[in-house]
Amino acid sequence: MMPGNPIVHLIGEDIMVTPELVEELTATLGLDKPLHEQFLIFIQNLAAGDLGYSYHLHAPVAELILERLPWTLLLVGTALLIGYSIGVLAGAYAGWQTKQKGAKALTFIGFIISCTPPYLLGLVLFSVFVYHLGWFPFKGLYTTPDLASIMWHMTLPIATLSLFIFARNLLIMRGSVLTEKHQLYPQFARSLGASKGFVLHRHVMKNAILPIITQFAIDFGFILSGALFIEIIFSLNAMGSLMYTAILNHDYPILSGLFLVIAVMAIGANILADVLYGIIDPRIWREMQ
Amino acid sequence: MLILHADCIGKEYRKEGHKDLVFSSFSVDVHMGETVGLVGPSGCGKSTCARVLAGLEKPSRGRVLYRGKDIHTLTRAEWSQFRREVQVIFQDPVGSFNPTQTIGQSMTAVLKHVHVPGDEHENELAHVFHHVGLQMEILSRYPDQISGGQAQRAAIARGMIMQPRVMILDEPTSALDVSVQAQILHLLTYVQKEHKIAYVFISHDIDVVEYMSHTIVKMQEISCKMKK
Repeated sequence: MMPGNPIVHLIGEDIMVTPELVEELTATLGLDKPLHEQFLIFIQNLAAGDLGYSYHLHAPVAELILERLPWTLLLVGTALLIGYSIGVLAGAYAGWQTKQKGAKALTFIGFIISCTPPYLLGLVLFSVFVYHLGWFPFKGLYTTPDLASIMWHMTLPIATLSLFIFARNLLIMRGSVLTEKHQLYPQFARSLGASKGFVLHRHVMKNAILPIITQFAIDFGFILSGALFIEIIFSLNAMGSLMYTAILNHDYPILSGLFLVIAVMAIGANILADVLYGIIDPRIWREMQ
Repeated sequence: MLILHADCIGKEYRKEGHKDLVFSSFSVDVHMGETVGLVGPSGCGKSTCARVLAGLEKPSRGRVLYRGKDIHTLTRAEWSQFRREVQVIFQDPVGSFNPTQTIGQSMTAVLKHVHVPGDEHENELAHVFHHVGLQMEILSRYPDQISGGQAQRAAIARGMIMQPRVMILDEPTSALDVSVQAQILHLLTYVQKEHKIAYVFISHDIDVVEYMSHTIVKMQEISCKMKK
């Protein structure tokens, strides 16, 4: 349940209206109906692809979200790809070669970055690379709608989120590889004369990556909220900015629509994690059968 | 014939600026077709010693000689031969198999490693499984789907694929039931007689070591040999 009276927020707190008008508006919007009826109407509209109407932005919610969703997906998708691939590889190295200086330095960097909230990381990078060095633009998704301009605008937001994802995965993968490398099966593989690299890639990584997949399902909501903050910091006109404005304006239809989309994405991430788990670890399918 | 010789080996780990001594001045001779028993209380360094003898770790001092040569100065070809001829059987047989691979996949990986042609894999596995008393049906199972006794037999079978001259058995029966222990000990004796393999048999159970070994070395009395 969201707090406040939507009618008051719609007409403004400073404007005086008659109680009859308030009643009329409440009836028009269907807010006088019992909660279960309102929910049923919401579900019926949802089934027809109608997420409601924003009276503040004067547009259907679905249209507003669909306009911005691709930009959030571009930011999150690219950052996930970069952060996971580099984080997993760097974590495997840091866990496998714990005594090397490079591995120790990577672990230290991982600790520092993972302890930094994404919005703070974004502010630091913004201050250094935008404000002081002037390498990247101050705001927006693009100056001219072409690939080069989009890349220029999106590089720093993507780098911020990638760094955060990279650091978290580095630490998880490092711990997981450390556990796996002391198991007997890699030692047996080594005793056959297989090289360290071969044992890491063919035996250890496949088993060590399982906690990463579990963490992906748990982390997805956290990563998405981080992305929304980053969008606000870099003034990207995507879902984060839409949510920020909606919260300030108490724009309930937009907020409920956004929460629904985020929930669906989080459920999708969990399903994807379950499927990946089954592909990597055949014991999972076996248990299901 | 002397095949493996540890010459006053010791192992220590550096921890936060100081040295942690696991064992020191340990010497042992392993002859072809014989069993050397290694006994000692928990924590005296038996398993570390096994890993050093198997070449999985470098000794901090002393040398391990295989067929008269220091194993850490071997050429690539000699090292490859050493790795093939000296096999390790671990205490936890299930844990020595990759949990995401079937027993068959683990066996096939070893056959590929020793360049056995693909069309001969089934015959080779049938031969070695018959030797250790295992059914071929376990090839399709995962390590957690077989019993400890089956897993240890499978581990011995996997070691035998390499046609080793020395097997280092690190507490091979301590994770098994008493009845299964006896079966595995009989199997090891049978395999040794058939293939003239030398064993380094590590255990904290003096009765088992006495049953299996021609020579016994006590770890707390390092460098001191005790003939049966």
